[in-house]
Formats: sequence, C-alpha cells, structure tokens
Amino acid sequence: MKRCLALVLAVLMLLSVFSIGVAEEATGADVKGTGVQLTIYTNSGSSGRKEWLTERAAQDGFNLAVLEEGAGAVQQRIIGEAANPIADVVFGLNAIIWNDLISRDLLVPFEAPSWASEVSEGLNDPNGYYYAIVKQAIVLAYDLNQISEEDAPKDWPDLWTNEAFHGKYEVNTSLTGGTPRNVIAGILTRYIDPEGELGISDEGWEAIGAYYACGVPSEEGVDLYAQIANPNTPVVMGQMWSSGVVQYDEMYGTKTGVAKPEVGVPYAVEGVGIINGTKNMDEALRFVEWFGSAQIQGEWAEQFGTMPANEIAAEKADAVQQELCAIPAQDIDWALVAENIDAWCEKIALEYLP
Amino acid sequence: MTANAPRKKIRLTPGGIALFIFFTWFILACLILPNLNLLKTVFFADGAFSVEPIMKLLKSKRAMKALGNSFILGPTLSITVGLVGISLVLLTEYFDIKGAKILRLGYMTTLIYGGITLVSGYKFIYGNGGFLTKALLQIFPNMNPSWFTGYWAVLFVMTFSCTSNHMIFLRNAMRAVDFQTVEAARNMGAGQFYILRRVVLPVLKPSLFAVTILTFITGLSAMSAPLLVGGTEFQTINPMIKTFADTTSSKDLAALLSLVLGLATMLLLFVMTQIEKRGHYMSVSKVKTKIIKQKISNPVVNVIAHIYAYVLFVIYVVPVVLIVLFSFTDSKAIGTRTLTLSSFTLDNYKYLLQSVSNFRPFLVSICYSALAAVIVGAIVVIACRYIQKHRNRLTSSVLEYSLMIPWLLPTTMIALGLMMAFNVRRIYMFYQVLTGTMIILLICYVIIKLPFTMRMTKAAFFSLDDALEDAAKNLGASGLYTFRRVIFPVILPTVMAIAALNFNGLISDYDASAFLYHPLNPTLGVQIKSLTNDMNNPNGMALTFIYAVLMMIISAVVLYLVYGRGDSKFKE
Repeated sequence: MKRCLALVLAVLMLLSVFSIGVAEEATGADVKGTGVQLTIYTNSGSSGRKEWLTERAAQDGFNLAVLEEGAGAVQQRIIGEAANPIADVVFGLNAIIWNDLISRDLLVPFEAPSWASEVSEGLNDPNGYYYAIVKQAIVLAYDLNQISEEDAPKDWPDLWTNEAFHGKYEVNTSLTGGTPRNVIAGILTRYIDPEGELGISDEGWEAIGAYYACGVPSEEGVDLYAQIANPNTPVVMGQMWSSGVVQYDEMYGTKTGVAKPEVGVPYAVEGVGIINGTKNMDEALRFVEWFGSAQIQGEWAEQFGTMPANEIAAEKADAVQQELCAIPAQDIDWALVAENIDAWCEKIALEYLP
Repeated sequence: MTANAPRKKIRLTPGGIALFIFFTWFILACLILPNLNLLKTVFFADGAFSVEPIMKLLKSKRAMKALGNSFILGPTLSITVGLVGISLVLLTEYFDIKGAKILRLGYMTTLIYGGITLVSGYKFIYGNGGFLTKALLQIFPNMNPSWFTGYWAVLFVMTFSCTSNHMIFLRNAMRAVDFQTVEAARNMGAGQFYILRRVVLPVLKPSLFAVTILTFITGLSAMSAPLLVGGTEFQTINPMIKTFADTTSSKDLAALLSLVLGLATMLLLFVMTQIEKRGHYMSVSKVKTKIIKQKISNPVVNVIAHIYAYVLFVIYVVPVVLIVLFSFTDSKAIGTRTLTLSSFTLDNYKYLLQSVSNFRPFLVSICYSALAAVIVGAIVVIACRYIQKHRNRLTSSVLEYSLMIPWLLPTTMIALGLMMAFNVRRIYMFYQVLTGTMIILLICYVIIKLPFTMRMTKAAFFSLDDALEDAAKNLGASGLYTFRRVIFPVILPTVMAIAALNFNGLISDYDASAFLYHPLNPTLGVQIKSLTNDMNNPNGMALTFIYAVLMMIISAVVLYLVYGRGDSKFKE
C-alpha cells in the first residue's frame, strides 16, 4: 500500500516537474513578459488600440511604450533612427513598407513563432523578417444604391476603358497614403516589363495615366463616402479598405458593393517584426509570440473589427469582413513593388496627377 | 546715427564673447550642419552629384505649371492682402467707424484658425452646394455650381485669410503713430487723404515691409487653398513638395523645389533689407500723443466706408460661424454641406474630449510650445539687438541671414535633418545622441520659428526711436541697463505678440512632431492627427472640425492673455 502511494507520489512529482518544464516553454498567449520596457512602433494604434494593447499586455507582464503614427511616418522614423534604434518591435504597416525596411537592413529575422503556421499561406515573410497578423483587402467599392452590381465595374481597368465610368470614380491624389499605393501597385504590376521605364511597360504607364485622367481627384479633408453620398457630385465609387466598409455604410447610409476581379485584389498585410539593433531581443521575441497568437489576435479582432491573418482567430471576425477577405489575393511581387513604388509615385506626381 | 557713421570698435566683454560663441555654435550645429548633412544624403545619394532631379522637374509640365502658379500667387497676393490689410487697420484704428470694436474682433478671426478648416469654411459658402452658390442658382439656374474654383477662388480665400500679420503688426505700428504729426499737417491745410498718404502711411512702412514679405512667402508656399479650391487648373508647388518630402526617395525633388522658393524669398528679403537700410521712417517727436480716430469728412465716402467695413466683416465672420456650427454635425453633413437640425450632435465633442482626456498631450504641447516661444524670442531679441547696433557689419548680415535658413527647407525636412544628424554622436553636439530624447523636438520647434520671429522682431527694432537710447546713454546708463530698462519695454508688446503667435502655431504642430516626438510623450498635434486620420472611424472629418474649434478656443485664450495684456500695457 505504502509502495503504491509512493509510486503515485513519485509519478505526481514527475508530472509536476514535467508540467513546470512545459510552462517554461509556454507558447502563444501563455507567454508572460518580464516587465522589461519594450518600445513599440505602430500605425495601428488609434481608436483605443494603443490603450487596449498596453493594458492587455500588462496583464501578462509586458511593459509597453507604444508610439503611434501614420505608416509613412513610422517608416521614416525607423529609417532615420537606424544608427541608434529607439524601437524594439514594430507592427502594422503593409507589405510595401515591410519590404523597404528589409532592403535597408532595419529588421532582424527571427525564428518563426509558434503561431506562424496558423497564418494564411503567403502572408508571412518567407525569410522570417516579419509575420502577418491582420489582413486588409484593398477594393474598388461602389454604392449599390446608385449603381447595380451588373452595371458596376468588375475590375480596375474597366474604370478607364469603359466610358460609362469616366468622371464617376474618385482617384486619391495623396500618393504617400498606404491605400493609394496598394491600388497603384495593383494596377502597375499587371504591366511588368524589365525593359520598360521603371520596370513598367508603356502600356502600363498609359493605363495609370488614363486612370488618373478619367477620375475625379479626391478633395483634401473630404472622404470618399462623403463624395459618394453627396448628390451634387457625380462620384459613386473609389478605393476602399475592407475594415472600413461597415462603419462607412452605417454613417453615410450607403450600401457598399465591391468589384471582385479575376486577378484578385491587393492585400495590405499588417505584420509584426523586430528592429535590427534592439537591446531587448528576448523580451521582443516573447512579445511577438504572445501578440500574434490566435488568442490575442482573436480578442483584437473582436475589439476592433479587423480580419486576423491567423486562420484560427479569423473565426472571431464579423461576417462582412470574412466575405470581403474571401476575395483571392492578387499575385504581386511585393519586393519589386517596395523597390520601385517611390519612383512610380514620383513619376505619377510629376506627370499624371490631374 | 546715419547709415554712414564710422564703425564703432566692438569692445570684447566676457558676455560678448560668450554670446559670440553661442551664436556661432547654434548656427553651425542646429541650422547649417544638419541641413547640409541632409542635402548631402539627398543630392549625393550615390556618391556623386547628379542633375537628374533638375531634369525631372524641367520635364514635368505639372511641376513647372505649379511653380509658375506659385510665383503668380506670391506677388498678386502681396498686393491684394496689402490693400485689404491696410484697410482693416485704417477702419479699426484710424477712421471713426461705428462698431469698430466688433469689427476688429471679426477681422481678427484669422488669428485663431487656418489651413484646411479655414478653406472648408469658405467652401461652405461659395463652393459647390454652398449657401451662396445655392442662392445664386435660384437666380441663375444655368450657372456652373462649381464656379468657385481656380486662381480667383484661391486669391479670394487667401486675400481674406492672410491678414493676420496686418492685424497685429501693422495695427501696432498704427497705434504708435504720433497724432501731433497728423494735427500739424491738418493745421497746415492738408486734406484728410493727403495726410493719410504722406504722414501716416510712411510711418507704417517698416511694418508694412515686414508683413508684405510674409504675405509673399505665404503666397509662394500656399497649400490648403489651392488644394481645396484651386481645381485642376490652379495647383501650386507646395502640395507637391510635401508629397515628395514624405517619400523617401523623392526628397531630392522636395529639397530642390523648396530651395527655389527659399532663394526667391531670400532675394526678396535682400532687396527689402537694402531699401530698409536706406532710410528712417519714424517720427522725431519726443512726446508722442495717442491717435484720435478721424471722422471721414465726405459723407458719401463715409457711407461707402461703413458699407465696405461691414461687408468685410461678413466675409470674415461667416466662415468661422459655419465651422463652429458644422462641428456639431457629423462627417456626412460636412461632406455634403447640408446643415440640418436633425444632424446636430454632441457625440463628437464627447468622443474627442474623452480621447484626449488624459491631459498629457495637452500638457506636453503646452510645455514645448511655451518653452520654444520663449527661447526663440530670447535668441532673436539678442540677435536683433546686435544687428541694430552694428547695422553695417558683415557679422550682422551673416547673423541675420543665418537665422533665416529654416525658410529654405520645408519643416518635414528640417525635422528629418535633425533626426539624421543627431542619431549618432556628433562632436558639435558634445557627443550626445539626441534622437529619442525630449530635447530634439524642442530644438526643432525653436528652429522652425526663427525666421518669422526674426523678421517681425527686427521690424520692431527698426521702428524704435534712436533718441530714446541716446537719452539713456547721455544719462550714463550702461548698454545692458539701457537695453533692459529702455529698449526692451518698448518692444515688449511686439515680442509678446510674436511669442503668442509662435505658441499658437506650435501647439497644433504635426509636421515636426511626427518625426521627433518622444514615444512616451506624444504632442497634441500627433494625438489629434491619429484620431482624425483613423481609417476605421468614418467620422474623422467631423473630428477635424472639432479639433479646429478646440484650437480656436486655445488660440483665443492665449492671444487674450498675452497679446490682450500686452495691448493694455501699450495703451499706458
């Protein structure tokens, strides 16, 4: 009897030792921070995201200082601080900026976190510089109250090839914005020609020229949906990001339909990466492991209506998001885009903007 | 002292040497080296200078047209704003117009708001769907509802929105006019408008010079008005500069274009400075009397002047009123320019106030702006004092033009220059890394406000009566004592007014803060920008308006506290 008890105790002790071992290698949301302060840069910190994240992370022992800025400003800051990095971790942004940071050697590659395999295929960086957390479809949106699905454009080129749409769509003239840049990339990469100017064929430049020439330029301080809803303007469609659709429809009483091109649509992939030169590498790795986990990304999606890149967390996203993000991703060479987008935008600003 | 007086030998005092060292260091370390460093990375990206950016710009029809438009707008705006600005000052300070106090408040509204919101305010009236346009369409159904666009629309909006400097500095100058000169001229039989032209306006010249230069620069670097009402036919160069400055690989174009604007500005400054050096414009009276408002003697002219004054009042005030009203609606109402009772809401105010409710960003911005305003004021007052005392020395010119350097580059690039210069240990910054510290943003704030402060403070020094200083010296006062007890009190109202304007300009700053703010201490501009630019809040547009109203309130309070009080001291 005593032997039996001793055996049971021994097994229990062994188990407990084993389970402690497991706890030490906790994964996902079970990872705890050590309280070392991490400086996080992001463009995705508004609407209470920053505060929510700081609080939620504190519950698990992370001490975060979150700096929130526009994507372009975050990019410029990281570039400018290269010699003496301030940030440890950066999240958000989009594939174009991620690839630019990689090419400047500003990120450090790291071993895939445990959740990396749960992310939809093709969204993580193949070389391990960043891993995807949220995806956002960049679509051509129109108002179903003013144009039926049959009459609406099916793909971007319809806008300039079909005269019926001339003067009815808005072209965003802010070339530093993430969404316009994704639209430009989505159009120009259809015309890649290594012999052409800046890697784009003449046909491609004519297309982008026609896109701007036949559209209505956006107005500073007035958003697309205000133009769509305004009976005094002819605008009924334009570029949109998927997570904005629901709220804009609510606000403006519009009913958004989107073009579903055969080639797919560009996705702005928000990711998470670690800054080259961070002094808190271990804590940064722990944070990434925690932050990208299905649990935390699911909570994030529920809080802020985003579409997680993590397929397990994706179930937490609302129906409209799921439907919009079901459109296939356009096959785009983001490294090529990152290398050229500045030059493309410069050419557009010099020659094609209305 | 005449312009050709023999040079005084500078006495080397310990204080003088310290100041010399400070200015040499400041100019090199903060103004010249970071910007040179930036220009080097921009123009010599591949190790060698290339003319490619110049060719790119010359080839671009769009860039050339925009540049041309800027150079059309600069001079024409100087004229129209000058005319309106002078008439505002005359209507409120010189002629006896009924209700002048109310009129003045109306004319001063441009001091508390600007940029996109201001132009939006005008669009609520004149734009497509605006109130005036709707009314006109009732009478002329065939007119173009988008009539308010292009050069004339830009000129119109900017003419009425760029009179702030007139309302402060020209008005100050007008109040300093010695009424005895006016009376003397009248006693000699001069007519009312002859006196105005030959006695009053000449005294205003130094200030008029200074504000005209500022107007010219404003016209050259116009941004919001062309963007909002310029249409496709009248775009100016600054929006393009901003786009290029925000794009990593296009900074060479941004730098080149702003150098073109900056050099034009410098050329103008140089010409104006030469003219300024030529003569004295101040009255020689020792015991000045306060101006008494003139009743316009010709009854017809009097009626016309009153009508003119009140038409101007309406033009100035209605946009502000509309912005305040629209700030209580949502983005939809703003976008469609329809004001209905049903869209009235307080939610936006609640949202914004809650979001900035931890008052940290407010405090951070107030501290930064106040500190920067004081520091830049102190630097410039000392510099101006030197320049005033040593008008013809080379060092004076070097000092003056060095402090104008920030006019050569857009704010974004100055901020980037600082960031790139001080993220490594530099000998000229005592081996301190500044990136990521609180101080770098303060330095940037000081730098970007230098040229404006310099120009306006210098005007104040130039309209000083030399006799005051001579008298103090004859009574045996030392240089420092004279400055502290005689000169400084006289220029104080202007210095305070400039500080208030600088404070108001900085409190909402975004361009510099974006790159330099400390992660734990975001400024107000950064905080608000993130709310209004939030992709997932379709009400961002409405928030912009509320933000503008909030800023109006802060600006108005600051102006009242600082300038209002400076004003009353002035009266004494």
